[in-house]
Amino acid sequence: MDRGSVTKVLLVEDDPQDAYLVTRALTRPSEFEFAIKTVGWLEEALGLIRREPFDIALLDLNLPDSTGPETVSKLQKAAPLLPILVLTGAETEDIAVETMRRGAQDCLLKGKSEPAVLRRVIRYAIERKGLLEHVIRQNERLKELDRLKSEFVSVVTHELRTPMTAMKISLSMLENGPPDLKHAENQESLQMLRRNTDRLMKLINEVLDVSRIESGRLQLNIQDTDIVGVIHEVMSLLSPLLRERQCQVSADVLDENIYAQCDREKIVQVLVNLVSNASLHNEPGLRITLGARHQGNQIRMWVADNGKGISEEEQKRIFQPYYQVRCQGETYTKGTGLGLAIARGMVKAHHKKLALKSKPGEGTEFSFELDALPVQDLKVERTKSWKMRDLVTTAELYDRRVRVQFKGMLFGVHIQTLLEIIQEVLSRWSPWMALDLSECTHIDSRGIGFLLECRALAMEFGGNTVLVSLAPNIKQVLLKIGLLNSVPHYLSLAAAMRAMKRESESSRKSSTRIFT
Amino acid sequence: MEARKKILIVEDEEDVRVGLSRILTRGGYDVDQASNGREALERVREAGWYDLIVLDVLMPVQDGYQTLDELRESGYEKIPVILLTAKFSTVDVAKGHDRGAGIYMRKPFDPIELMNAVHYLIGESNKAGAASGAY
Repeated sequence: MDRGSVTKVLLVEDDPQDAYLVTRALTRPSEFEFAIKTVGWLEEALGLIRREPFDIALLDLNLPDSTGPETVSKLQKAAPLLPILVLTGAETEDIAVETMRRGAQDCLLKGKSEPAVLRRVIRYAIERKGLLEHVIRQNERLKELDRLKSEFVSVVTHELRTPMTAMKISLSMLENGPPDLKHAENQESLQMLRRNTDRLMKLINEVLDVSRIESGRLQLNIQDTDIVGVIHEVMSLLSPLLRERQCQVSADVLDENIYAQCDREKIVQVLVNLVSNASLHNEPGLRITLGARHQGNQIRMWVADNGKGISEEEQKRIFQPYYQVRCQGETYTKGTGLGLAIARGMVKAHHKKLALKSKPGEGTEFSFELDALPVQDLKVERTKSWKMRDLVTTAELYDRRVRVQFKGMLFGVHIQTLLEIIQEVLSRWSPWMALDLSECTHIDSRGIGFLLECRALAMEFGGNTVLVSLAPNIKQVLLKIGLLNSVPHYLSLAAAMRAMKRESESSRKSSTRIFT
Repeated sequence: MEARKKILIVEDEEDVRVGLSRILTRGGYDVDQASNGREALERVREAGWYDLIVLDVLMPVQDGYQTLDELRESGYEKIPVILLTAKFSTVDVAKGHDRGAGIYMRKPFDPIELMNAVHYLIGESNKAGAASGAY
């Protein structure tokens, strides 16, 4: 209760004289203001609290339609969150204690309290009720945690014991098997051992993920992420399971260039959990769609299926850790019940929400958003283009940093001339340079040498080079020779420019430190 | 030569089922497999008899206890049963005993213990059979 706010009081008192005294005590000038509504019958009070919010009820115990401590119970039942202060004519300690037991915050003798005391008692009663509610909510939360703990023990023991049994069996088979470890039978036992070790490892990771999520310790590694690449990775990771479950999965993307800022690994896991859940909880033959679309400055992603759907009742519970959907009449479930809780936690760590839309018999769709990679409005300050046989090269200066774009084949013949031009651009414009190869169709070994030369030149001038938007075939070549490990590369020009800005600023700072 | 004893393994976890079946085959038994309770009942009806059933409790379609009940109702109550379980409480043990399960094995068990239990139960039911035959 704050200074200056009005406290809304419901006075339940049938004696006009008593009602007048209370009202007068509360309407005296004071730093706390009270708005009072008076009713004479309990029935009226019960009707009024349904329509209007009150901060407290002052309750007489001798009403025409209810008498004694029972009155407190009736009001308490109708409004469990409303603090109640009992006013009695003839107070005995027994009655006072009885009313408190039934949920009243305090019990006062009518006409015997100073107005200041009455006001104070009202304020304390409201505070006490607030604290009590807080404790009750905490208690509910602890009960929920306790339930989780029991579920944890029960699920984890089963999920630990089963692979452990298979491991003991494989070990026993190895001990008593043929002496040659390469023997086919022993190899099978080893595979069984590996499979089940992996399964245990997966369980341990899931339990750790849930505990990190629950305690808010999940750490993200945000990076520029190619969402179409993520979708294809998820589909290939799950292809054995999807084949086994006879599911058809298709990607729904209109644009190949969908980039988001997110933790790539975590988003892969979210999608893996959603898709594998869909396949495990539906009949074979299911169709699953994995989609992504630009929506303003967001990327909307979804996993939709045409399966049996999730009832409203279950929708409320399936995100709880260790909760498992049970088929009607079955006591058996497979898995740990952690997949959805982890998916939701990981989306939430990105400050987004994992939404669920489902109708029994029609299918289910899980969706969430990610921040799209911002496409900055880069203002071009200067442009210079050259055409050399199959290669068009454009050098542009944005925000004091250079982007050199290659269109066509970056083959040996042009390179000497190109290097001279690049050197000129670097010395006149800026030593910070993004080499954009997104429209470069081919590259040979001298082309790769050229990229490294550019980098060396830029560093000579006190700057550096990054690569941006590699065409897939070129990316493959650069990956194969390991160049992408040493040269930073970005999916968009904007991201590359941002990275260079950061680097140029930090190098300026460090050089300042050195020279001062 | 005495006929090889026949054992049915009922377990939904493929690795456990195949592994156990291999170990018991090495131990000199004929082994059939089923991956849930319903399949198990079909196997038993087809074969008409097993010398022992190794039965997992937690399975899809039909769990171990239901399967035990149906076996008893279908007149196969004399087949000795070893129950395998990952959950283990006195309630579970009582549920098993009420249905006449011979031995409870708690996962993860040592395959040697299972083998000992198999030898013991198969020997036991033979003796019981021999004794009743004498009367």
